[in-house]
Amino acid sequence: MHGVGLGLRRVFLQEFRNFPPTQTDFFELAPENWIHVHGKSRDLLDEIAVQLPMVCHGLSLNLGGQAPLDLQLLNEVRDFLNRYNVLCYSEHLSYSSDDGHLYDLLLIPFTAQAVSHVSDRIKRVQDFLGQQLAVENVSYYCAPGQEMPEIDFLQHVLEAADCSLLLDVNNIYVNSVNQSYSALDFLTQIPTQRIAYGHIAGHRKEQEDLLIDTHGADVVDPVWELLDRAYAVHGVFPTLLERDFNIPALQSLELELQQIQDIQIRHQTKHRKISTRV
Amino acid sequence: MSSQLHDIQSNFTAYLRDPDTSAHPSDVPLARMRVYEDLVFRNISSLLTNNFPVVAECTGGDWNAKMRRFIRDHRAHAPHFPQLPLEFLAYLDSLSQDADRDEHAIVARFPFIAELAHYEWVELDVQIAPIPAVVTDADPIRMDHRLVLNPTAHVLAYGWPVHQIGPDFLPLEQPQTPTFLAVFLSPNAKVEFMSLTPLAALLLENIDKAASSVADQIKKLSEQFGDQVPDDLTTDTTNLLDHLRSKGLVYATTVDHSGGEI
Repeated sequence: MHGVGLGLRRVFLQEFRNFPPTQTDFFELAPENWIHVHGKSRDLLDEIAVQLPMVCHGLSLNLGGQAPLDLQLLNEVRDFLNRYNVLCYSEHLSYSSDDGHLYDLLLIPFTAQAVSHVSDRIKRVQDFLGQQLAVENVSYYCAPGQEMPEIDFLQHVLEAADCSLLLDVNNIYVNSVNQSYSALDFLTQIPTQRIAYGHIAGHRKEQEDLLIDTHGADVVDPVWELLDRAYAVHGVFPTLLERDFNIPALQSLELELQQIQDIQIRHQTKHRKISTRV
Repeated sequence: MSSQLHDIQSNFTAYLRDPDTSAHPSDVPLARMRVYEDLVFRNISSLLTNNFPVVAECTGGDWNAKMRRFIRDHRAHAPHFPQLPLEFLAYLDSLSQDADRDEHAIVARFPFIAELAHYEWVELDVQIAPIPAVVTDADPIRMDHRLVLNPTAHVLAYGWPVHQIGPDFLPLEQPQTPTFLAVFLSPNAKVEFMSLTPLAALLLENIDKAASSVADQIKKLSEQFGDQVPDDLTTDTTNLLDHLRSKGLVYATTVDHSGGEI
C-alpha cells in the first residue's frame, strides 16, 4: 500500500467506477456496509476492486466492549478480506455495544484494566485472522474513569497487542482542542514503526473548545499542517481521505486528494535530498 | 465480568440509551456526555429515516420519539448496517406485546405502521439481493413448463394498502379486502413493484412453496377453489403467467433447475 486513498461511499460509487480520481492509489470501505450487499452496487464494487487495491476499515467489532467477540462477523470479514485481496484490515480503538449495538464509536476508558482487556481481544482477532490488525485512534469528547493520558493508553495497547496503528490525523487535532493538549507532542510520541496508514478528514467547529468529528466538511488548515508535521516526524505513510456527509462532487474531493499527494511528494523529495547528502 | 471497567462502560451506555432516567458519569462534564448522546441519536435516527422515509414522513413529530424509544428499549444484535432496518422491524414487533401508553397512542394514530415499515424494508432487501440470472424460456406458456419464482421476489399480503399510504393518506380503518403485492429485482437489477389480484397472489404463493409444472399449478388452484372453480381458470392462469413471466417475476423453464425430479 502506498500513496493516497479515498473512502468509498455509496453516493459516488458509479462515478468512482467510471472515473476513479487519478490521485487515488487505493480505496477503503467498511465491511459491515458491504458483506450482505449484492445487486447492482456490489457489481460496481467488484469492478472498482479490479482497478484499485482495497483496504477495510471495520465498524462493529466492538474491540473495547464487554460482549463476547463476534466470531461470526470475523468469519465473514475473513472471507471478504480473502475475496478482495484486501491490503489492510483496521478497526477503531473503541467499543460500539453494551448488550446491543449502538452503531457508534465510544471511548474505551483510559485505564490499565482496559489496556489488558482490549489488547487481549485484539490479539484474539489477529490470531483468528492470521494477520495484524491496525487500530485507529478515535476522536472523543470526554473520558470517564481516566487513569492515564491518551498517548500512554495508545502506546500500551499497541505494545501489548503487537498490532499496528491507523493514525487519524484529524482525530489528533480534534482531541487536542477538545481535551486541550498539544497535538504536536502527541504526534511526536507515536511509535513510527507501528503506523500502517493514515486518515485525514474534516470536522465541525461547535465551540472554540469543542470540535465534532463529522467527516462532513473540507479538511482545515491546522489539520493539513499536522499531516505535514506527521510526515516530517515519521516519514511519508499512505494516507486516506474520509468524507461521510455533505459529500461534494468527486472533482472537489480530488483537490484534497491532490493536496495529500503534494505534501507527500514534498516530503519524499526532501527525504531524497537528505539521503543524497548523506 | 463484574469489574470497574465494566461498570464505567455500562454507566456510559446507560446514559446514552436513556438520558432522562440515567445518571451521567460523575467525573465528566454533562455537556460532553450530551455530545455523545446527540451523536448516537443522530446516527441511528438518520440511518433509520433513510431506511423508512414513508413511515418517518407519516408519523411526523412522533418519529423522533420513536427513535428515542428504539435506542432505549431495543438491543440490536446485527453488526451489519444494512441489517439495521430488520432490527427496527423486530422492535416494532416487540411493541405489540408490551407497549407503554405512549406507544399505544402512536399505534392508535398510525395503526398501519408495522405493515408499512415491513413494506419499506422489503424494498431495501430486494435492492441488495443477488441479481437473478435469466433462466426463463421465451416460448408461449405450455402445460409442461416448469414454473419458478424469481428468487428475489417477496409475495406480500397486507391488511393495509401500504403501497398507497403517505402523508396525504393515513387510513384509520382497515379495508375489508387485503392488499396483495409483489416486490422483486428484475434481471437488469431494477426493483419492481406489482399489485396482485387474489388469483395471482395465490398462484405465486403456490409456486413459491413448490416449483412444479403449469398443469400441476392449475390442478392445485382448482383444488383450492373447490366448488367455486372459475370457468376459464386455465385460460386466466395461462394469461396471468404470460404477464408475470414478461415482468420477470416468474420463470417458465423446460429444464429442471432444482436438480430433482419434475
